[in-house]
Parts: sequence; C-alpha cells; structure tokens
Amino acid sequence: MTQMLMPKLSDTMEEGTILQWMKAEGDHVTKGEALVEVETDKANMVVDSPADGVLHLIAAEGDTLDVGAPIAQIEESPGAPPTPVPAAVPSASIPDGGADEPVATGIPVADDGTSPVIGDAVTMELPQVSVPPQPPAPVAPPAPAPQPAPEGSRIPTSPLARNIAARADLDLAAVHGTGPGGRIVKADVETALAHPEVVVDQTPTPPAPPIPPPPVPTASWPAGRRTPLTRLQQTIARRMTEAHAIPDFTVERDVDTTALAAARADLRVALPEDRRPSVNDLVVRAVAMAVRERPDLASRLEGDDLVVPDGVHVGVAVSVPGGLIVPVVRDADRKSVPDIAEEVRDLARRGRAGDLRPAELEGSVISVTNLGMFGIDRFHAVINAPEAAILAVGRAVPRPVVVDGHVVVREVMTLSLSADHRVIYGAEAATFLGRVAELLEHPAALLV
Amino acid sequence: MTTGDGPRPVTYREALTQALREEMQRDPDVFVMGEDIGRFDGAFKVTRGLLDEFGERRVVDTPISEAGFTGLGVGAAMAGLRPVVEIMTVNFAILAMDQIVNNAAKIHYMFGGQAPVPIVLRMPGGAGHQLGAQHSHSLDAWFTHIPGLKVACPSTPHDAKGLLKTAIRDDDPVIFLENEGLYAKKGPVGGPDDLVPFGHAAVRRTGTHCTVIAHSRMVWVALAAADLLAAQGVEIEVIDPRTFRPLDLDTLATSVRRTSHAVVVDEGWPECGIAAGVSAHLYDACFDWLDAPIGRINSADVPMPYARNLEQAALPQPDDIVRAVLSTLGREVPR
Repeated sequence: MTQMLMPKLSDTMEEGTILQWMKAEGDHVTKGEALVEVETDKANMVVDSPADGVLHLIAAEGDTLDVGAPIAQIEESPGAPPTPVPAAVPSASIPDGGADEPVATGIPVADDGTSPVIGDAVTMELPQVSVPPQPPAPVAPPAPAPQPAPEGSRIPTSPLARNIAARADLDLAAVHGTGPGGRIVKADVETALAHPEVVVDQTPTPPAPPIPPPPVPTASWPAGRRTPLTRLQQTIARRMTEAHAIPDFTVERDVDTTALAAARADLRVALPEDRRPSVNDLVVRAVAMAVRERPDLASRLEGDDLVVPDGVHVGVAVSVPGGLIVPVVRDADRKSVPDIAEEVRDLARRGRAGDLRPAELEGSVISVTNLGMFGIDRFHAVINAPEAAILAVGRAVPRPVVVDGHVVVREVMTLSLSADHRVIYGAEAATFLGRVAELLEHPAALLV
Repeated sequence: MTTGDGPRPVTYREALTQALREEMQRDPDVFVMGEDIGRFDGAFKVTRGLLDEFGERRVVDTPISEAGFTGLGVGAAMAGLRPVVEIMTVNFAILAMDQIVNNAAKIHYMFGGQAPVPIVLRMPGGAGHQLGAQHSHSLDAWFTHIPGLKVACPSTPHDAKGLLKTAIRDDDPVIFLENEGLYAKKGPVGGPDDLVPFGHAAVRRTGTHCTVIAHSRMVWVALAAADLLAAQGVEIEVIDPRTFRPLDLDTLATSVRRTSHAVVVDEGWPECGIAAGVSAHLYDACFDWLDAPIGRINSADVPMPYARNLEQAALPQPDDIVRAVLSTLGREVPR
C-alpha cells in the first residue's frame, strides 16, 4: 500500500486543490503515469503516480488539502481493502520504534517478552505491563484519516455550526463551507439562515466552471478591510461569471409611454393602492403577452436542443441588501395587471425580508430588470442563465420627439433587450421588442 | 495593605522575596532550604537578605544533592514544619523526581491522611537564555501529570507573591514554577494578607474572536500577539490559568463558549503537554460551541538548540500565536 500525499510543488506551497483525477477509483495505475492535476498557489501541475497498483481515492476533486495530507492510496496487491491511514500529525510525530522494539514502559522486558521480577526475591506481579513480544501498536492513531469520503457522505462541519443548524432545522447539505478545508463554520450557517433562497440554489451544481481567481492584491493596492462574500454574493458572482460565456447581443428602442402614463392615472381611480401597477408591472405584463405569442423567445439551450417552455414565468429583478434576487411571477401571461402588481409588490417585500420560498425564485423563462427609479435612461443587463433574454428598462421621462414633422414633448422610455445569440437571432429579438413596445404604447391591450 | 509594599512596582524576584519574608515572619514553622540560597542569596537572588534576618536555622544552605534535600523537606513537612525548598532550576528537579512523585505526592494519600506534606518546591524553568538543551526545560506538564501535587505558575509579580503565600499556607505539596525570563519583570504586588487563591484563572485581556490560554512567560508572548492581532481587527481574550492543579476550567470554558475559538500556548513540548491536556478539557467542556479545532502552540518538538537564532525559532513567538489564531478563525494566514 503506497500512500500518496499532497505534494509540495513549490517553495511557498502550503496547500493544494485537487483539480482533476485523471484516473478513477479502482483503476489500475502504473508508476510514473499522470494521475492527478493539482492547483497550487502558483500554477496547476500534474502529479504522477508514485507506484503501480490499484487506485483508491481519498481526496475528491475540488478538495483543498494541506501539503502532506493523504490524497490517495495505491494498493499494490489487489484484494486487500484500503487500510485506514492515521491522520497526519505534522509537528508532533512520535517515532513508532520499528517492528522489533517493545513498547517502552520503563520496565525492562525479558527476552521471552514476560515481565521480569522487580526487587530481590519478591515477585511482584505486574500483569499490566507485560509486553507482548510482537506487534508494536501503531502509536497514537488519533483518529481515522480525515476521509473526505464518498461524495456528500460527510460534510466537515464545526460542532457549533452543526448545533446552530440543528436548532434551526437547516439541512447542512445545502450549506457551503468556507472554513479551512471547506469546513462549514458558524458564519456559513448564519449566512444560509439569513438568505434561505440561496441555500436551495445548491442543488448538485454541475461542476462549476472554474471561476477565475480574483486578482492577487498587488503592492499598489492599498490595504483595506476584508469582508467575505455572503453566500448570496458568492452565488451571484458565480452566475454572473457563467453568464459571461453567453454570446449575447442587445437591441434597443424607445417607447412612447404617454398613453401608458395616462392609463396608470386612470387605474388609480379603479384600484386600491396595493394593486395599482407601476410602469414595471405593465412591462412585465407586456413581456408576458409577447412571450405567449412568440414562446421561442423564452427557449433555453440544452445541449443541442432548444426547449420551449410551457409556462410564461417572468423573473423580476429585486435589489436586496447586499445583493440581488429575481423572484418569479408565474404564468404572468394569464394574470391581470392588478394581480401582477400585487404579486410583484409582495415578492419584493418578502424578498427584501429574506422570506421567499425557493420555488418563488425558480423557473423564470425571461427576466425584466429596471433601473428607471434611479434615474437611469438605458442600460444593458446580464442574461440570467439559463434564460435566453433579459429586458432592461430605463426611466420614462418627457423628451423631445418628432411627430408628424414637428418636435413635440412626449414621455419616452428606452427598452434594451439582451439575448443569447445561440437561441435568438437579431430579427427575432427586434420583432419581439417591437411587439413589447407596441403593447406598451397601446395600454388598453395590456388590460385584456 | 498594611505595609508600603502595595502600589510600588516591584520585580517578580522581589515579589517572591516579599512573600517568603512575610510568611516567615507570620509563621515560625516556615523555613527555606536549597543550594546557595543563604550566603549567596540564591542563584536568582530570590532569598536575598533572608539569612541575615532569620538565621541559619531557617535559611538552610544545602549540598548539591537535590534528591537528598527534597527528601529532607518532605520529612520536615510530615513532621509539621512548612519547608519552602528552592531547587535551583527545574532541570535539577529531575534528580528529585522520586521524592516529589513517590513521597511528596503520595504519603498523605497512602497513610490514610495521617501525614499531610505541606512542602513548597520552588523552581524556575523556561528557555531563551542559551543555556543548552539540558538547562532549558519547561516541565510543567510533568508535575501537572501527578495527582497529589498542586502546580502554580505565576506570570506577574502580583501573582508570584500572592500564589507563593497561598502555596506556603496550603497543606498539600505545591510545585511552584517560576520562569527565568520573568524575574526582572516589574509590577504591583499585594500586601501581606493578599493571597491569590489556587484554581482561579485571570483574564489578562478581553476579546471576542478567540480565546488564547497561556501561562507564565507565555502570557506576555500572548499579549504581544494580541497587539499584533488587534492591528488586524482581531481581538483575542488572553486567559492565564495561574494554576494547573487545580485548573479553573470554568473560566476557560466560559470564554471559549463565548468566542467559539481557542488557542492554547505552552512553552513546553507538544506531546502530552499542557496545551494538549487543556485542549482535551476544552473539547469535553465546549465541543458543541467550537467553530474550529483548538490550536496548540508549543516549543518545537526537539531538544532546545543552543544557537540563539535556533533557540528563538524553537520557542513560541508572538507571530506563532498570530498565525494560529488567524488559522483557527479561518482567516488568511500570511506566509
């Protein structure tokens, strides 16, 4: 049995991350064969097998381990099960004496292994110190090896974190550990409890594409206060990075919202305050109606297939303390404007309070995001994968426009539709955005 | 405070002298004994002036014979006196271990409580003065290992005086561990009746992020680390157990439950040492409150090197504690 340890691949390396096993559990490997790719503080390096035999993995891909920690065993004689490895005791190793030395007890041991007589003629029985001649007990095996065992079977968790999670009835499988070696610590549980919506996001995520490491602080970067990202912020960072891989493009147009403003004023007469639509609610309604007519705009790419969704569920971006969430108005095409207004209001309020259920944050097929309330005229949004399009809404303000050859003042709003070019082509995006504009310019159509 | 000793800062050495003098004045059964403690005032001058004041019957110079005079002390204690035996350094106590372990610690127990052994064995330990591998021991764990002994390890002049007075008045054998690096440390001390009870830890600095447990000279190393950490926004709570038998686990555990993180510092070696033993107590008492494994800082697991740079590298330094605390807190540890 050859034990393979996390190698020290550079002078400064203290820990390494297993990027990829090039052989699988149980594979036969030969000495010198490329076995594992390890990420160090400097670079990614391939480490060769130190022996011939059958590979038993200890560390999983993604695990970060200290230099010297066991990462695998190579079993020379097939058949024997892998023996548990004593945990590495770095600074405090006890010499184990070797096979022939008796365990030192301070009592001399006769050749035959029995206890000698102490004192003159008085025989003192000291059965407890009689030393069996043979196997020197493996010295100080404190605990079985930290077996970063079969996926998911044990999540390293601090006792305190486990305690808090148990009291809050929180499933630790859904919590991301940020402590040493990925241990779930108190802060992780508190983050998970504070952002319940993020927790569920942790369905077995496909091996996340490696996120480029943040730039190493350079000498020119002033020292400052360091704050770990919350789980929500980590999720946003990951998804935004993933979205960067989408080949997107944006089409824009202005919408005359003069009639829309008038319609909103009229609706004030008919509706209680909590059901009066904002401009954004009307945009959500228009988008839902347009998607119902052209559902391929809300397709998602799955491998080489386009999947057209059955329901028109519209995501609405909501700013929350320390981040952004996108609660979903389900079947928005089948809901009235006042219903949408009421629902969006409720989702946003509960979203800011961290009170949304996971289902309320999932399943959108297209999203609407609006920075008009911040005085933004126009902006381009990042696609909320796996959706194929997102509509960015600017503010509606009076602007000079040309109508019938005359410059007149109208209330105008700019819409920017960003689309995944693998799914949606330019003409389709333009047509779709034109239809949304048309609906918004004829607000009565939104009320049917 | 009945004398003028109180507010005036005195050295750790002088605090010990005060304790001896005051207890010898208070109780005629108290006497001191050891190598060079009379005419020479003691190798570290702790017994300075006592021979003149109390005479040769109560300030006894002995031959170089640790096992002999320690045994003499045990016998005197059994006979009703209160000997304070100075062993020049902890390194020479090894010669007297049979008297300490087999007699001082056992006789009260083995003879049905008929003969208490109220002896105090004072001895300085610690490294840092290039005295070589044989003369640089911290054997606190050896004595703490033995049921029947009490073990005190003062870190300040105040505690040196108060704990030594408690030790002298205690009916059990007390191993009184001084530190060579602390004799010149100055600080306030209490008066003749200000005792520091055994089994009461002292909180040397309060903090919320991590509890650092350190005793004797390591308290000062931990406080230096606390300043370095505070500059990074990390506040550690430094707790000095002051005695290991008895151990004030309550104060330690209360702090660790509050901070959820602990680092134990000990100038001795790591294997089965003070830090290991205290950590084990804390795991039992605080398991469900811990957010990370307890860090341990010890001298390197080697015979103490003679070369100054190697000796310093082998001893726990503030930076070692800083790293251990940051690591325990899961923060980035500077390389």
